[in-house]
Amino acid sequence: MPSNRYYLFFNHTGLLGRTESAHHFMGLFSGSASYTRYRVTGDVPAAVKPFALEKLQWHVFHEIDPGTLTDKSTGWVSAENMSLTKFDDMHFAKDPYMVFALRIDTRRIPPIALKAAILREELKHREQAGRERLSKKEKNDIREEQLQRLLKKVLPLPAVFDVCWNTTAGEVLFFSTSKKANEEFVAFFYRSFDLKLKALTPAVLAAALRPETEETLEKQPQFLTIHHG
Amino acid sequence: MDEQHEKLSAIGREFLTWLYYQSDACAGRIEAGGEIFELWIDRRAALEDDATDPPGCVSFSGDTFTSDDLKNAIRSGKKVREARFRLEKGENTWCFSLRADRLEVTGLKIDLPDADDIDERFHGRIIAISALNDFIDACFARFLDSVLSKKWKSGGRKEFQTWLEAPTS
Repeated sequence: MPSNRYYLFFNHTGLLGRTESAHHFMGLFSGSASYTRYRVTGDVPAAVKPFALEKLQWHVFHEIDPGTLTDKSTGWVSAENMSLTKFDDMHFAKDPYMVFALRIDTRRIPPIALKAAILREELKHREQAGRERLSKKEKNDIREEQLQRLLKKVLPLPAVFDVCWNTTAGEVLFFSTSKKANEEFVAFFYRSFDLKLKALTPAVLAAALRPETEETLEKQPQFLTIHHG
Repeated sequence: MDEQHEKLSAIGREFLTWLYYQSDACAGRIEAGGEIFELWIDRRAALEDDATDPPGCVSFSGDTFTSDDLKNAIRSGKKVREARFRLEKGENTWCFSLRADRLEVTGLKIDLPDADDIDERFHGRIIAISALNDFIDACFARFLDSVLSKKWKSGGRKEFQTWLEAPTS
């Protein structure tokens, strides 16, 4: 079961868009949960809550301005409401946890819609110029023009991923197992808090639970060998 | 798959295979962190042998596969890459899939009534999620202690082999 639920709709421009329901079902508050575990590395300030509040405010999510050509926006929102983009209180602190969400809005023109628009414009240009062929520059100009025109019409597609930071254990749960979402999360967390995250993979967990075994595991990672005959 | 990734995957797959072995050999009873849980594979498992090129994979789903099917796959050199488990302790139940390569939990269903208050709901769910993570960590530590002990070389490996070769039906 996917961790995000989207609803298909046609926006006012007629282009197909997708949006998430007002209440997102990411697993931390309801529904089935999928998550990746991380360990926080680096110096976390002792007064972690005011530190986090300040960083969340600095890197809060901003809606894409429809009149611009921006195709992506990334930032923190409240985990309780993806449209709540103000961190003006400590609602995200639930001792010993801090709970917020990463919101990534992207605007993407469906490739087939772009292709249709380009072909239509090329046809028009050829007829107007009375020529069979267009130059490479003319084709590039048409493509860029159509790209910009359509981008302004496409509604942003929001994706929201819950984050739960256990400040006592120094562990963070990111509620997605998508490789791309996890890469973006790790990079944005570092940009926001200046703290690195280390995924709790089997090797990392082994090093944390039984540090003395690291060398042995590197040499011999297989134990359940099968002997036939 | 690069060498480092292959190594990391190998440890995770060894762990899931060992977890299945423990569950099957002890009729579902698993000791973790000093407590007894019940753990079963829940209708889905995928096994892979990445020593072959291309990797040999086999997936089982539904109610039709048996312990013998899984053992046959392990006997052919495959290890558990991903499995769906049902974990029980007292009145608490967790149904989840565990991916060996990165120890990721997917599709976790927790048997909890939905509280109206958001904080109450959060605390109920995070306690259940943390308990599951603690269970995984405790099992992983047990796995390391077991396979890296002298006892594994002297007898544990043989016990595993005996279990693997014993028919279940």
